[in-house]
Amino acid sequence: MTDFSAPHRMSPSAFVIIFIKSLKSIIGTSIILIFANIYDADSIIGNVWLRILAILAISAALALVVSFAQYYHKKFYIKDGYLIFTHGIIQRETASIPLDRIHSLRTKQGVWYRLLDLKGIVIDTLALREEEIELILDEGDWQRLLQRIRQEEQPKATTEPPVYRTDSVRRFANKNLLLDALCQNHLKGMAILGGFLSIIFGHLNDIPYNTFDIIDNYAESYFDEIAADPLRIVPVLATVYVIVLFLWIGRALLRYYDMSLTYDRKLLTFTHGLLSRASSRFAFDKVCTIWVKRNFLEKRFGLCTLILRQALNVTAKKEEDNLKLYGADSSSFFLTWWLGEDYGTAPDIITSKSGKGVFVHSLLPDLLLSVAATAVLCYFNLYVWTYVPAIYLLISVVKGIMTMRHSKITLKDSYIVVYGGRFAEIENYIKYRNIEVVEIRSTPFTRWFHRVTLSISTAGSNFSVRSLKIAEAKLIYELLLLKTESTSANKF
Amino acid sequence: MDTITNCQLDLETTTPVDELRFERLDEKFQSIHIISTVLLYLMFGALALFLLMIDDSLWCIITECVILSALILNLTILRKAYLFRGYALREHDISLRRGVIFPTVTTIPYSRMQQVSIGQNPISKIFNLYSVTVVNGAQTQSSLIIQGLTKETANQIKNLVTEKIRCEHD
Repeated sequence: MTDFSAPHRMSPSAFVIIFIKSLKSIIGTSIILIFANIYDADSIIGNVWLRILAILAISAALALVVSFAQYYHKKFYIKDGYLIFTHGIIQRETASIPLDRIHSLRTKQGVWYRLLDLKGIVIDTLALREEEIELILDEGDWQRLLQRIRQEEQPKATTEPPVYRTDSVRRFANKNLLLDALCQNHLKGMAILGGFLSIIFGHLNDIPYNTFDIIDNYAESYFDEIAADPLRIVPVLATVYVIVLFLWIGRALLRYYDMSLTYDRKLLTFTHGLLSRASSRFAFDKVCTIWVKRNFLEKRFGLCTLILRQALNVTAKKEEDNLKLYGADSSSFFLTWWLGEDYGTAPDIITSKSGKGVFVHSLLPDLLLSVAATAVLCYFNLYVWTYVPAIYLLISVVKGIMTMRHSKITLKDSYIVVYGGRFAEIENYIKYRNIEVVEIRSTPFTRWFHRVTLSISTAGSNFSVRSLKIAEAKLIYELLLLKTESTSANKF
Repeated sequence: MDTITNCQLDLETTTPVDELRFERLDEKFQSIHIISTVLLYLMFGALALFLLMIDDSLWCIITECVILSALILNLTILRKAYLFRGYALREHDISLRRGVIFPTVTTIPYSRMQQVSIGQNPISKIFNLYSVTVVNGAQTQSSLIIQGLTKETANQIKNLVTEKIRCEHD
């Protein structure tokens, strides 16, 4: 009986499963070959069935070789608190996974697994992009592995979130939800609607070409009419805007109507929805960023948009686990819950503001787009329409200035605030213990302007602060790493 | 109540990342880099030949010339890229420096590492070189790959990192 302390292959019956998987994949790729052979009159083998049989036999032989090599080279064992996994034929790899970093152990049992009395053990870590590791084991081996993992696994440090009375309830007014939905930037929605309409327009190609010609001629004549008087486009845009506005409000009401929050010290549970009630749960330890947005209108009416971003892994998908809260400014409530009572009074350790590089970075794509659009309009003699790229560029300049003004990073004692946003002000609150990677990047212009980009990555979000003074960025870089280290040493 | 830490941050005794001595990769890694680059451009060239030759031979020649010029330019900066590329291990984190046009330094604390692995691809196998991949839970930059290491160095790094992960946990 093995205790998994020495390199160990999977259960012998696992070979059958690997063989079936290989066979399926090889036959899947050779299916085109099979179809091509059916109609190949010049083939050496005359009979069609014999040809198909030959292809299947070759596929089976190939699958046998591949699966045996895979089975033979796939070994695993547990040593000093690590699950060590060796695999690969062409690209050999030995992965060491600390047992305490295993996020979940999932088992799967398909038809073939059940017939052979096997279990597929899928090992997930927080490493999102890493391929899942699957071990195919029989029940005995699975139980022994589980026992060994439990023996080796060290108790995890627990964090102590702030104390709250259990079952406290907070309600979100529908009036504020409606008001905040009206305060959003609906122009983005117009772009989406435009994209949707362009898809429909793309499908018009499927309609018989006569129909398309009729529509095309009509559109051309209508466009000529509009081209003569550009102001005629205004009512069209206004109509689209109103449609988008209604869609936005409808969507917000459908999803977030009558929202209520039940909270205690470790968990936030939201229930919301107009037609069907949905619930979203946020564990204190799983939240990795609080995103707060306030645009001009939201600030005017005391509203804000807030997102609680959670740590993602292979079992959690990006948007499903994030909830957007529209309505009255409740940021201080959520920030107090997550960062502690004195989050607002904590002094700044260092603040660094972005320079003009942010403005250039924001403006450059819009500038290129405007120039290209102007060139196209001039080429088609639509000079009167050149005001559109001109206005677009003007808005881009304002956007660039606003982006530059908003972009900065502040380090506090127990958390960081990354400020950003274009027309709206965005604040991202991150705890040091959630920082996974820190990166500093220079550009070809760094030697002249002495500015760099600082990037911070967490398990659920990524932030880049551009055009920071090189000395400040390097100091922040070191402080981030030191603070990250000290918070994990203190089991924050 | 939530624990608010207020530890003394000792920047004086920490070696800043920009003052670190980055370890160079094995000399043979340059050959791997050259082979990989040439193979990539050969693929581009073949694709362009396949797509453009049938319709327009002039465009095909122009595209091939552009690809060849890009290859030559790329090969000239490979030496510089090799000299700049390196890794550094500190007490609590590992850093990788890379890039010629956009020089970048990436640092991952040991306490955030999820797994460490040693690997070889068919080209590095020819030169008997290995790569160490350190995987963390970040949404982007979820792995840091140190390529062009001898077996001995790769094992040393792996052992050191695994030991550090354990120490950080304890």
